[in-house]
Amino acid sequence: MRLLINHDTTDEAIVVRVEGEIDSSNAEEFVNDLSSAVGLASAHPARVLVVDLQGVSFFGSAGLNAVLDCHEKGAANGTAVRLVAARPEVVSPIKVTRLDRVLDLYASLTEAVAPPSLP
Amino acid sequence: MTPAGAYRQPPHDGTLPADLAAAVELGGEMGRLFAEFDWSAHPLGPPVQWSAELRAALAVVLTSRFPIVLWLGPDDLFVVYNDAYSQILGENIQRRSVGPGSEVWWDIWEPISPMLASVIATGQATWSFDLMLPMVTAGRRTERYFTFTYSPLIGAAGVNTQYRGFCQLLAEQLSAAMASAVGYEQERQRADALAELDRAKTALLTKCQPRVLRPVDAVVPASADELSTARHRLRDWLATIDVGSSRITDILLAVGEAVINAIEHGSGGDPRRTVSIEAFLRDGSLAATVTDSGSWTVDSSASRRSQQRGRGLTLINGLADHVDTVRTTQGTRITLRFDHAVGSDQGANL
Repeated sequence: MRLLINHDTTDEAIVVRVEGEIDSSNAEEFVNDLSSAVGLASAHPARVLVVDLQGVSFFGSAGLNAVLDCHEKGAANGTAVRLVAARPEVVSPIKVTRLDRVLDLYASLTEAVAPPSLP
Repeated sequence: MTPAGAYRQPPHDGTLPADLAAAVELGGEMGRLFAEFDWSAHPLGPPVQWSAELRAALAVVLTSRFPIVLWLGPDDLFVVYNDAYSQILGENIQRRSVGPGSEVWWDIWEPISPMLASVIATGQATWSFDLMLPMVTAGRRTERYFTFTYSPLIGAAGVNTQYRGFCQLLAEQLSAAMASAVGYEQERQRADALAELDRAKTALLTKCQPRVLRPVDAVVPASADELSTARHRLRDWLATIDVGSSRITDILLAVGEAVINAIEHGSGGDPRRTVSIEAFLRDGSLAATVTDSGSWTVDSSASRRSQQRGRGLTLINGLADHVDTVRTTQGTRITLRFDHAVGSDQGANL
């Protein structure tokens, strides 16, 4: 299964957009891309990586393990990893495995790149 | 319909009425056996004395390519079936046609005789879905799965009293045969055989099942590259039976995890092995079964790999309403049930 992964650099963050279905046939590619993106983000002044999963139509344990791995790598080198996840295909598995308690979830790319500041 | 060229007027020697003489000509091997049988000594009597309704039913049976059996007679329920039915029996073909039901099907008479009795008593048809019948095959009990109905034959005066006939349509869930795994070195041949079974089974069940109950099934090589194929096939089927989109998401996730386990842990990622995926609807609930030819190793360690795998099991248990895992020496079979997958009104249309 082909995955489309795009990297983008803005002033606020490194943004990775993913399109396709993530399963164990292509998870390794996804893990490697996220790993290099965390490396890029750690060298970026904002130290923020946004992973946009709005184009992902299947997200099973392979995808969950990959983003969790990325989240942990970010935590280890002081980079915030934010996920854009609003589609039920992505939100449902995150909630069922209770990873919503661990991962940093946003409903849109705009919110993830520039989260509303506290009043 | 008479296929041009295939039909020839049978020689009429007076032992069979004209309609049955025509039917046996078109009835293949069972038609031939029927014609050659010495009916004069049989309790049902010579076919020339049979009622028109019974002869018409028999002509349907003998000429059909769908497996059908008639249970005839007021007491003994003599079985008369067609070529398609005898093919399903396979090596049990020695079970003779026109014998009493209790003798021909002695090994499963206990489960089926009450069903036949209920049709005799009420005229109401029975319906058995994927029912396991422990048949004796080559001297051994074998679990085989069938979907079938028993229904009454209606005569001129209502339910036929002279010949209490019962018509049985039958389709075997060939998954049971798939479970009888063969040696490892034969796996390649087995994959080809399974693909053939897969096609035959799909053809058979598509013919047998009403639209909303048409099951989906697939046999795929045990490779992660096949995951999306299996998933898309299941998704397309779920959409055709009007399962809601959020429910489809959950079902695909849970079944997907079961397939990953079957590939990675049940087959060791060996693409020469196969994984079978079946799904069907029953009373609005969807059941999906994933079968492999290995055993899932129990890994209770706290290793990272174990945690990651645990996430798949969490998805299965969290998304399915009921999970049933059967481990045998031949493989692992996990069945996930999703209740109220479609509105109950659809099941009632049958």
